[in-house]
Amino acid sequence: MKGITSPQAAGWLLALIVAVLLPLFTGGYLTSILLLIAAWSIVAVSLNLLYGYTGQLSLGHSAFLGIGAYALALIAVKVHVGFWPAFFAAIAISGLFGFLIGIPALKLRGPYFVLVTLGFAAIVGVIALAWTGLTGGANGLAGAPRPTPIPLPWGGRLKFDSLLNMYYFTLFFLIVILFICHRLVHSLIGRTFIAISHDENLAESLGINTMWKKLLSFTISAVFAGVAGALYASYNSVISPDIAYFTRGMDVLACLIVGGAGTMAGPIIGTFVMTAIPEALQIVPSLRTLINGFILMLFIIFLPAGIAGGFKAFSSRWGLKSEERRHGAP
Amino acid sequence: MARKLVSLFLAVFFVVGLMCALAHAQESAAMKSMKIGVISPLSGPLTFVGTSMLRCVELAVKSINEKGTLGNNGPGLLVGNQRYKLEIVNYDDAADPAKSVAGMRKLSEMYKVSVVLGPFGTPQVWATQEVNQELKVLYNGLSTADESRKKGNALYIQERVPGLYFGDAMAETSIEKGYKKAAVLTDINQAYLSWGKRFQSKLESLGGQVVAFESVDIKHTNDYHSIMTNFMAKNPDIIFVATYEEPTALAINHALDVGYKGKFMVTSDWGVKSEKIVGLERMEGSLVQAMVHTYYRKYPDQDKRGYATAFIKKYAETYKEDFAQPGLSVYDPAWMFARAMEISGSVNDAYAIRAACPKALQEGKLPIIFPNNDVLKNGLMVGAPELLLEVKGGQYKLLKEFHVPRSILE
Amino acid sequence: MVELAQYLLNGISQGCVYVLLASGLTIIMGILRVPNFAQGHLYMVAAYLGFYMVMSYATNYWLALVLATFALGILGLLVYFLVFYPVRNAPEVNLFVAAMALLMILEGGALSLFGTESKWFLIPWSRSVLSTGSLSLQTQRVIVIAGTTVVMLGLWFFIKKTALGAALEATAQHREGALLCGIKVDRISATAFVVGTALAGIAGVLIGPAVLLEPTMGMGPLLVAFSAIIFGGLGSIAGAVLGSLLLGVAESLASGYISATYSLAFVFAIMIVMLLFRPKGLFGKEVWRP
Repeated sequence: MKGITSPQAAGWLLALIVAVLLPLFTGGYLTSILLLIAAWSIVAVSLNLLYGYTGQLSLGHSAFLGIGAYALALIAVKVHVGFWPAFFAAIAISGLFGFLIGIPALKLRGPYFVLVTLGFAAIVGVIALAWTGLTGGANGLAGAPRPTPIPLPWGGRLKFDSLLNMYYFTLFFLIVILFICHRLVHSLIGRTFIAISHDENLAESLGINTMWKKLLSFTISAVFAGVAGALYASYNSVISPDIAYFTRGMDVLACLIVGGAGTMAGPIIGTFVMTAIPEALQIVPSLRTLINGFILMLFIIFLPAGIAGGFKAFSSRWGLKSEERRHGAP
Repeated sequence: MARKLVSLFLAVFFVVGLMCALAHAQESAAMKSMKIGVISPLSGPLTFVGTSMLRCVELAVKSINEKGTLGNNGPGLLVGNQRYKLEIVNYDDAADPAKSVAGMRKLSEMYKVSVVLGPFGTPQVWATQEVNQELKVLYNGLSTADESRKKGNALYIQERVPGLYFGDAMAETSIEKGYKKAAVLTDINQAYLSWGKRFQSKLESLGGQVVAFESVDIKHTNDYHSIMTNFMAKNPDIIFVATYEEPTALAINHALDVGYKGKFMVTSDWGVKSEKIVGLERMEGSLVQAMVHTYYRKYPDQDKRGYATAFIKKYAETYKEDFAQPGLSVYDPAWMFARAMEISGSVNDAYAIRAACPKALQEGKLPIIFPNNDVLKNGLMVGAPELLLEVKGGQYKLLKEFHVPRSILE
Repeated sequence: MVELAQYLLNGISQGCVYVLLASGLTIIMGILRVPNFAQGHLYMVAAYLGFYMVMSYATNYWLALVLATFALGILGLLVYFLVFYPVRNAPEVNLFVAAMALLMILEGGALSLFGTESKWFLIPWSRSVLSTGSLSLQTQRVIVIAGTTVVMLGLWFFIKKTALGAALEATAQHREGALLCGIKVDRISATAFVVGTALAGIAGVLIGPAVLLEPTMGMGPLLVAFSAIIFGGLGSIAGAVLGSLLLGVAESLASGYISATYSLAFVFAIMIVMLLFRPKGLFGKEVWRP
């Protein structure tokens, strides 16, 4: 693992400091944008695990986002339990659906897999809209709770009513999930994922049980997406079927590609670029799709590795040059 | 090594700088004029309605800024000793409840608005009711649902009697005309659904029969042929279509496509655009539940107060387009809020403004389209009558003018 | 029982739109190996083009149909050279993402240019309805069925009876083999893409007067078209035709007998079942090798 003084670590630390301090200086609306970026980053990270590291392109993550969100709202409201039981139940349900959908879906490859995940996502979206009895239909569901206050060791309680605290809550999960992903990717399982992403047949011939590994990746990915969905529901307190609409899956993929699939920082950079910059420039929503499309197009043609991927390649070439200068060219 | 660090810091510095610029831009937004918010769908299937909403508020604001709320106390608002110019800040919620909530937050936190017009649609209104009191925003959300004013929200105004109360009159007229068998198509939106159900229960209680009842998500439906074929098989005398203007026209067209020869019943969402799409001559004998201006548009001499026809003319001159039916519903509340600010002496205190709303209407001096003259405790604006029209020879014939008793609405 | 015939008729007319879209999709997929996600949006662009020509410039509808198709073909050529040609050797995923980006550009462009309000495409016979006995169909939809039949016959003729068509078929069957035979595979790819977009164009202008025009109108038909080509087998035009008609009828029957809201889910369920049990579809030659 790279040393703690490496530029990468420094970059992460700086980003963390900015992420923690920035909302203290800006207004509520901006904090809500940062919260959304954090939440969508979690989804991008989850897709990154499945696509960037395991090579399976799924357009179905909107389904898990929706399942996580609706599960939290429904369990908390209808079963009258507190936030935490509902939260863990929601992500467990999300993971369960990931497992169940993954079993048949992962038997397919290439465009078939993409289309089957899209099909599942579309079906979940339709159910969210049409099963009025369960989900409230077009009216959506209100009442998803904020996290219950946590008693602090020095007295008093940490409450989550404020937008700021909710932001830190979301940021906390982003960091935890990033950490889990990092450890996962650098472990043996992670290397297996990467092997599958390079050449699935070869991996299989090496004795790797690709089906189980892919399923593991898919399920974990679904759990993380479910976390994002539950967090979003908790923050907004109102959710509507639009959260499960299948086009979200494409938006997440776009963020991931632009940021750089297969890198740790990629999903976050990509989500930030595709969300914050249009917001900052106060771009009209209809133009945003157009601009995001252009950005994605430019990246896929000229820099398919994304920002982070390109930065990696660029800096490693640069690094080589300064190495040569120090030790003399061979 | 140092170079890498430098480039890294530069990149981060750029990002931080961008965000600081963001923050700064936000702070310098709040200035002297008085901002009012508009949340409406400016993208997605209900754009037509949302655009109209925004424009109607613009017309009201323009008039108030020029001549004041009473036509002679301008320019702008006179609150206490200070004159204010009204300025609109709007948000596109694409008729998505989650976005409506985000919009209310943004308008409140970033622009500090104390009154908002919109959003449109019952799901969007119920969603925003969860946050508007915490944000201290007084608003008129367009919802024709009965529950909307019964949730104990102290800062919500419902500008019109919920549609389901008209279901009774519509069912009665249907029976009177001899249309005993009905098929009902509603939007899955609660407001239209309960409107349809109310019509059904009254019709059945009067000896009629509802042979088919379907609810669909009109936002994602483009093809009503199958539904209409289904209805036709059951031989209804009349098909009640309860949804927004354009889908109503589409559904009617598709019914005609598959050979339906009976009558239609439509809600007050019916307007100029839908007339053009279907063609009134293809709807002979159909019934239209209408707001007063739909009738006045064809018969201006019936508009004794004159404000409705004046507004229609102004809109056509300014925008050269037809407006969407529900869009104009925010026009009156916009005037009411402005006048209430003057009466209450406050532009920031949503509760004070709300308290002054009844007086603003009771004065009876505002050039509002619908002759409402009071605001109930639960936020409902009351006073205006509703109409039932019949399509005859490509024109409208006034069948009934009715009021819903105040006691039922409280 | 009478309504069953009406449902079938409704389903076939809607299915014809899917036929045109799916044929284009399957041709592009067979030769360029990319699921052209933007196909639905190309169809939308054609519908809008036709709309503006007829409504704003008083063009004759049939002329508008020809012009719009031509324009879409040129657009297809442009898109091929600017987008798909540069990434032709990249992993398949990249091509897919490029198609997605194209979709976003077209949708954003349509939103900005045409506005978000729905448009109504009115032509002289917009309100006329043809009926025989108890069956009835909007005149424009009859034109859709007739038009689709003509176009598909023309397509069949093109592929089976012309040299260019044979080259297309050869490239779809075996790219390397076609290269070895001296076929200019890159040119064939461009041709395939142009044919695909032209088909989407025809579909758009044919159905335009019968539906509401919105920037997102392409998404629904696109997904059904994808289901159709999976059902019929990737790369097979006959499969695309059969799959489209079947799914169009299934959608219509589901709407009528079960529930209109769930009808799209129903179509997807069919696709998923097909994918799980017979991924190569009805007429597909082999399971796709990534």
